[in-house]
Amino acid sequence: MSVLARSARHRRLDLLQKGVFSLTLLTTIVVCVPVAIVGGYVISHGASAISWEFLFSGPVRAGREGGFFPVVVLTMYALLLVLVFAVPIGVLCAIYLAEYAQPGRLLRLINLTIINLAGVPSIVYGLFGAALFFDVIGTQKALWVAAATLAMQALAIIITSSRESLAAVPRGIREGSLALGVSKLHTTFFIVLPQAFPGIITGSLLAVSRAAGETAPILIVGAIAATNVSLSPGAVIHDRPQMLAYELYYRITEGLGMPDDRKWGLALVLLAIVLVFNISALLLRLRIQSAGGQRRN
Amino acid sequence: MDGAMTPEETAEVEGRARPAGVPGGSPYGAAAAAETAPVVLRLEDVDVRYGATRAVEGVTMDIYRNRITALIGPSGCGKSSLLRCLNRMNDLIPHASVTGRIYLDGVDVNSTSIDPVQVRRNVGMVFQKPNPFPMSVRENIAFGPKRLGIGGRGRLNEIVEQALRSAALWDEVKDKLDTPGTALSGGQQQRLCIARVLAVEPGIILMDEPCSSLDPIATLKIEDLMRELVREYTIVVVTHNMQQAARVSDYTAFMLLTGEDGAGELIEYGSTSEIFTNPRDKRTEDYITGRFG
Amino acid sequence: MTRTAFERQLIGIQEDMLVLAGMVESAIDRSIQALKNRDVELARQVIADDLKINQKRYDTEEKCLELMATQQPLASDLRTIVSVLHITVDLERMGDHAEGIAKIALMLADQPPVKSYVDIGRMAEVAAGMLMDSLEAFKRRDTALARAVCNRDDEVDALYDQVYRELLTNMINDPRTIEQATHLTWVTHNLERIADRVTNICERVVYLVEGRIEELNVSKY
Repeated sequence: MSVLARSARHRRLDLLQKGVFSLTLLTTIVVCVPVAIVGGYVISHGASAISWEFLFSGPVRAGREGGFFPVVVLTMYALLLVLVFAVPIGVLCAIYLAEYAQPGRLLRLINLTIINLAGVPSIVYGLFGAALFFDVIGTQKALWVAAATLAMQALAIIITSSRESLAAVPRGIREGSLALGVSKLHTTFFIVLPQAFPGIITGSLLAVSRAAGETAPILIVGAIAATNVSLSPGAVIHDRPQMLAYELYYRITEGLGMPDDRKWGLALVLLAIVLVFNISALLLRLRIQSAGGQRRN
Repeated sequence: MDGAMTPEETAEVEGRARPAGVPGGSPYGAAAAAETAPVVLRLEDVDVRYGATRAVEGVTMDIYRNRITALIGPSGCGKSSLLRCLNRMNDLIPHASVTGRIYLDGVDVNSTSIDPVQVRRNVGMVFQKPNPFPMSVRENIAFGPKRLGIGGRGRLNEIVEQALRSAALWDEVKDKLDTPGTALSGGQQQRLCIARVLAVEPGIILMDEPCSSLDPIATLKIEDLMRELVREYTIVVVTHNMQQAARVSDYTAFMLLTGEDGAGELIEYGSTSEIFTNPRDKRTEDYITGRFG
Repeated sequence: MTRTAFERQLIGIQEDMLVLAGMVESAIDRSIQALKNRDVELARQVIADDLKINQKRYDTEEKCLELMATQQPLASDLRTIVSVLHITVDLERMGDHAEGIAKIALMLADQPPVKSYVDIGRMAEVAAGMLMDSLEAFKRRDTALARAVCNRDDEVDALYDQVYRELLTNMINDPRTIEQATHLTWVTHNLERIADRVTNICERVVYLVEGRIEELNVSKY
């Protein structure tokens, strides 16, 4: 038998290889298909409700007509607050953990704790946030409280992903900079951080987009705030946090007979916001990576 | 780096005179009688510990200005650890401790009152695996000077060109100064790293197995570069490659793990020609002739 | 033990050198024999064999060069190979001197001896003995023996002077002996050169062991 002839064993291995390959392909399809179906369903059912009025005017008749502009604005506003609160704090914390902290049992404990925090159910965050800000601190501004609660949740994710991005920067580059007589501070901020930037941005945007979809914290915060609130129009905007996810939940469960397509429309808007965040994260990351080697001014 | 050298020193460096060894005597401070160059680094009783393990024990030796000193020895004998003492890089390793005195131009740089960042400005280092920053060639080299406060595009460009010329890389990259440093070949990347170090004008350059990851031609180019650079700088190089140590260095120090605690000791230190033709210690002879084990 | 192949090759060139030395010793012995016994055949044999001596030297040299190029020898290995290179040169030159004696033996074969060859024979004995001992010193890396061998060169030099004076006297007394006497002077000259070369070998032995060249042949004359 020549060297190149294929034995029975080879043929079995080939078959196995093809089988595993098909399996992985199948699972990929299985994952992608529901996403496509859900997306398609939401678009097809909600597209009819989308109009200029829907997006940019206020609610009429408790939401059965008119638009959801305030809710959308508030959602974006809250997400912006989350970004402003959570990202700087999170990144600085990650820098300390990755670059300055002494390795040892304490550090490992801290890292483990933060990772666990990222997995705490969002409703617990809501409860904690409400208790902290309303009871302990005594503030009345519900929107800020909602944003702060969401920020806390996002913080854990941002810290973890930023720390990973920083740790992924090869050690050789740090040593190369330090060996030139550049201080650790400069090395961290001019060498390590820029290289970790794509990962940090991606992690942060993903964390924020996740916050866009959280109903539970809003629920709790809102429920507690609602008991203290007046019903004047201005107060409605400032004192009762209204965010899209919560709004959707509210509308779905209230049973007041809002036309279905409007509910789907809300869902579509929420989906669109999350999509925009995620795609921005991806594009930003790609742009930074391609610009990374080029001249930067 | 002040450029003043006595006529004797100049003649010696120009003529590549290998200082003759003085037979007999202690393993340390060899060839002192024939060597005219001043001592630029003096190590006294240097120990390196990582946690409870001692990696280097009791090293005492002199490094001479404008000479290439090679550290050789089997894997794990502590030569890299010793090298890293000279620019306080061991400070970066948790639980590492360096005891003993390291006098750089008379000042003990191993004391806690000396800022390691200052030391590293005067003692640069090139690593085994080339580590260019993910920036353009120009930015790589300008990084050090910029961070030290040197500004002005014109001045920086001058520095970049000067450094690249000194590193024998200018001709190859002068048309691609704004392309990424990581796009160069291995040998070019290593010369880029050398240029980067030269840009901050240290007096001493440490090299930790600089040619290990390079092909033979690139290796020879770096060796030629070393002999060029040593006219102005002092070079200490750790190498696994004995032929390289023999080709390139003026002085060679041989280290070995000894004792049950397995700490690296300095076994023999002398002029390269002596060490490689007639070493005094049998352990040196065995290592050099490959008769280990 | 690492580098076993290299070790084998290193031992190999030293053995080749010893074989060459044996060939040279034999050439010295036989050339003097041929002279004493007016043995034309033997003389011709020695002359022919010199080619083999030359060839052996070149072969050994080549092996040394190959070893240096491929194995990058250092320290004592390097000194060993360099010593072998030098010694083979000295040996080959000694072979040439023995060949010279054989040629003279051919020339004088048809004439009766003009004086006894006792002293010349003695010179040859001492020189051959020195050669044997110098190589023994090399084999055993014995510097004391090497130095002792060098001192015997004085004996050869003394004999050389003595024979020269005798031959001179003969030439003055009986001009018909001039031709033969001059040839014999050349024989002693060759023997004296052989002994000199042996001192070179001894210096190489000291170099090999101690790593430096020391002049061992400071003549008392």
